[in-house]
Amino acid sequence: MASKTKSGAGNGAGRGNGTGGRAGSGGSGATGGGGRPPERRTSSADERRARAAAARATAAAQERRRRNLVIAGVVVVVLVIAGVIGFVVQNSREDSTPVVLPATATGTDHGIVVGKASAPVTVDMYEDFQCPICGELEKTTGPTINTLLDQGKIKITYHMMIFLGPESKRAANAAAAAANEGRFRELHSVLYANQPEEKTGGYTNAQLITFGAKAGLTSQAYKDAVNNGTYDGYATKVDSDASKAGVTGTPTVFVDGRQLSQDQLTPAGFTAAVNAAS
Amino acid sequence: MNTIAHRLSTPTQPTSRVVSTVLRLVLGAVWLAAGLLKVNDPDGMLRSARAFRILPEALVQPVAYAVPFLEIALGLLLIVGLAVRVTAIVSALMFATYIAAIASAAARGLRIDCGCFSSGGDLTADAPTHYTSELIRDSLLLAAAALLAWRPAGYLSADRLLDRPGDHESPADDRFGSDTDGLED
Repeated sequence: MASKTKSGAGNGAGRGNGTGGRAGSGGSGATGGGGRPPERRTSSADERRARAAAARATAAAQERRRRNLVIAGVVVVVLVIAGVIGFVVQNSREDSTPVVLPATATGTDHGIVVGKASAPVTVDMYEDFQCPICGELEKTTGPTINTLLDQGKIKITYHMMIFLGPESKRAANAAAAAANEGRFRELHSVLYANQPEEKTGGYTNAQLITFGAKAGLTSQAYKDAVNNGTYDGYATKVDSDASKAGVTGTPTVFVDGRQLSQDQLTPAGFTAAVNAAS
Repeated sequence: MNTIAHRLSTPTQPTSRVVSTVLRLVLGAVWLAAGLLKVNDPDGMLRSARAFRILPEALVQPVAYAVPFLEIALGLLLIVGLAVRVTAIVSALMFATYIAAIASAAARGLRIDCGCFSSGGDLTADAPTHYTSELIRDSLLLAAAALLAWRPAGYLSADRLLDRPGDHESPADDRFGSDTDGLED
């Protein structure tokens, strides 16, 4: 009997119906069998049963509600903990690479300085050795830039960014090693002349050592720095400093602190900007 | 009574349950993929988060580091089907945040990759932005999460296992319980 009333209350899909005693009427139809007209006593017994069933349903609902709250709370806590674990894990990964500054990293945000110290105009170049447009810029405007450097009209602070991937980081590390020996410019040219397709695993350490030799870098110190990633920490720092400085892509060029537009990144545009600044 | 609308909107109807199940598994897979693709590139995440130029520098790092793990946790919880309404509400809030961030980046004319399924960040000058498709995709995901929050009951879920057989359907209770918790975060 108890099981019957229970199932009767249970299959009232809407909970509102269950409490309204209407579910009980179905039950009374079943128990009042035998042809006798329903008496007052039977009907009050039914009502009591219905009320008991309703009370049980309410208790069950409360229990479910309580349990749902607990589960919901636990899940929220789990999500928060996942976030905290993430922070701790990534943080511990991050701080592992020490920052070693190459000798010529004396520009703003530890950029690598190339050119005569007496040059009147300072150019800040933000590049990524993998970025195709940087390769384009080097091809079209590189000669102009080199002439202005040699004439002592400009000095350049290079900020080599690495956001295109591990290839960029390896190249930036090698470039920092070259900067430490005062041959950044030479390696810079060789790397762009041999720029691999973006994100295809180019600029391997072996290649970087070969490219170094072409740029006059044959020392053991250079090879060790390439193989050990001596300047990885430096490369990461330069990259994050650049993004903190609001550089939103490469190539980004500043002439005496003023950013050049995309159209100015031509031999004529660049020369005009330098002349305007000096 | 057996109209399509009725079948979809009544939680006890198999159609509604099937829809909820599919939404739940799809959302879970999306979170899991999004989180796993980013978790191994904390530097990239840092750059992505910073590129939006919304958060103050002090918050960039905590957010960038925590988000992939949060996404993976959400994905696992959705696939397992534990506290579906809560995870769906959290998902919806996160999608709404992403939509707002991308829309604001687009409005400010920033040229960035949303970093939704990769470490994004600043784009090189020539790379195209995909703000429209990113916004449409996130809006669809937001709609899916909202639907799931409205009708969380489906098949193959831990919630269903935990409910006693015969009375796993009580929308009023669920709504009460989870809504209260939805407000906590």
